Amino acid sequence: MADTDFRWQAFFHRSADPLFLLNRQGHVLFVNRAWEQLTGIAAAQARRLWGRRPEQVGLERNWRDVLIHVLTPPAEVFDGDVGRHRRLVPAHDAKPPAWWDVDFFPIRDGKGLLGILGRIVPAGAIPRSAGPPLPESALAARVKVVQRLGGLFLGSKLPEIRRVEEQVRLASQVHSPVLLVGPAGSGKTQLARRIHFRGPTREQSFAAVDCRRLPPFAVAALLFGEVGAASRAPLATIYLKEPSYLPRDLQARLLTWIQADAGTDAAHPPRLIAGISDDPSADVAQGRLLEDFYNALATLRIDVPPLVRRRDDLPHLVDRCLQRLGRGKTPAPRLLTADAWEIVLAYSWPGNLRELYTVLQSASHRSAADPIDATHLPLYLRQAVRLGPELATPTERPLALDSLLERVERRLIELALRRHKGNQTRAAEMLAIWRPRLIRRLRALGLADAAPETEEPST
Amino acid sequence: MRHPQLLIHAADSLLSEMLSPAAKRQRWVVRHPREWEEVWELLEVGGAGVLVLRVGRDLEAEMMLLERVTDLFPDTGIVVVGDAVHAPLAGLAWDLGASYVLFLPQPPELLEAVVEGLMQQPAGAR
Repeated sequence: MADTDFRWQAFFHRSADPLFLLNRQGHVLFVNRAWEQLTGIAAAQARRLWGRRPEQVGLERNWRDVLIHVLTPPAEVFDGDVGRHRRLVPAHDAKPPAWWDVDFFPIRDGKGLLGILGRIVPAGAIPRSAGPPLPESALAARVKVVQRLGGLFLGSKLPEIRRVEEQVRLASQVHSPVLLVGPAGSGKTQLARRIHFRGPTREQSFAAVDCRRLPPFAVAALLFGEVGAASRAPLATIYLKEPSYLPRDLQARLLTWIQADAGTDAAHPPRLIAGISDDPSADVAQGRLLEDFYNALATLRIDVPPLVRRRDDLPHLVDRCLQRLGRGKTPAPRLLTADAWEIVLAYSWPGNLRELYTVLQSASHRSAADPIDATHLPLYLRQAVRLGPELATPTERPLALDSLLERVERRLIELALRRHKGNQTRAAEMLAIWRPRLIRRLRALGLADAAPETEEPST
Repeated sequence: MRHPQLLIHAADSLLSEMLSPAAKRQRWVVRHPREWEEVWELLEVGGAGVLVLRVGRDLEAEMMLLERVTDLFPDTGIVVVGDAVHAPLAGLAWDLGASYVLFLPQPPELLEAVVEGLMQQPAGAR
């Protein structure tokens, strides 16, 4: 037994990651050498620490209090979930203040929590010019986002998607521009975020700029201006959605960014990723996209397939959408009924992932927490699937406009007369027409006998 | 036809006043939700629009709100408005999915133009 204990400790001591082990109460049982080197605290001293201080510690507090705060797991870990938090660490041992990301992995036996294994990942020093650091609580949302984006892309078996995964992984490791080409709603923005948040500059910021919707002068202010827009945010990656909508002079200025970045070891301007829904060569041919700018962006091109080519992934995608909806206000349904599945699998999803999510969101609202069935899905979806190939060659049906208008007119006149108890003068006023016209229409519609004139008693 | 909705999450009326002329001109439905639950209901029932989020009073709640709206209502444009230039806060807001970040004081035209632009539906949205 003693041999085995020795081996696991030696194993952890060999790790370059600072590791620690807590008991279920949060007392430190073990720290490895990397932890000692990072913190400057020997293992014997560390075993007197107890991770029970969730509140942020001020930068002026002593190092022991800071470490206790670092070692304190988030609440969900005691419930058995993996947790992560980001901790602000003040200057110590001639090192500047920094952020540390701390992962907590609960270890359970048959009865409950046995202990917690922790790992510290230094996330970078806080630049002096950045202003006062943000409070840890404000960063909790970012920690969640980074955790979600760091996981497996899809776990898809489709060769096309596995290729995209590999390209995203490669793109995250290099600094060159990336061009994502795929239909609207196919997930290009999420891919751009993954490329950034899995790369070496993930501690700096990522901005998605919608070139189609934002006015050009606002985009220019963000990219090049001083006027409070970017406010010198530490942007390492800028994702341009539909850059063909940018004026050509802005495209030319962005091209100089790319060219300057390629030729020097000096501090990099933000890395550019672009997303284009249409055929980029058509945009170039029609003069909407500068050819040199396009060529520079397409240094690494990733083609994102439409959802219709990913039907095998639909069960997994639907599950992920429902899990995502479950993060909202009320519990979202976790199931689709068989008839709902039939429609989801048969539909062509021209709006891709965005449409899938929107449909499930509205269906989830209609179904409350019950399983989603076909009646919860939008009518257009059900019609598109049930009409099937007939949609390709729709048969022409005459639209009887006159008959339709007459029905509407009849209904409105009946309503107005009923509202005013047969008083034609009042009914005409309600319909914003002269009374003689109302009388003519009553005769024409055959309503004259059914709507005899009545007058309210004068007051 | 449903009018696009403009949600303003702020402690005072400054942003409402700045956007009031554009809101009248464009016939936006303007609402002032206070909590996440209200924002959620308005977006779920009223459809995507634009959320203008003033930050600085309760950063934890404001950043959580930003993250949740981005996650659950990705077609909603979000404009984050801060009181004073703060680079880390701008970076965080961008990271969490803001469509635009700006710091006061600003000419109303910039905020108006950004909100008007974001009121357009994203490409390919139904």
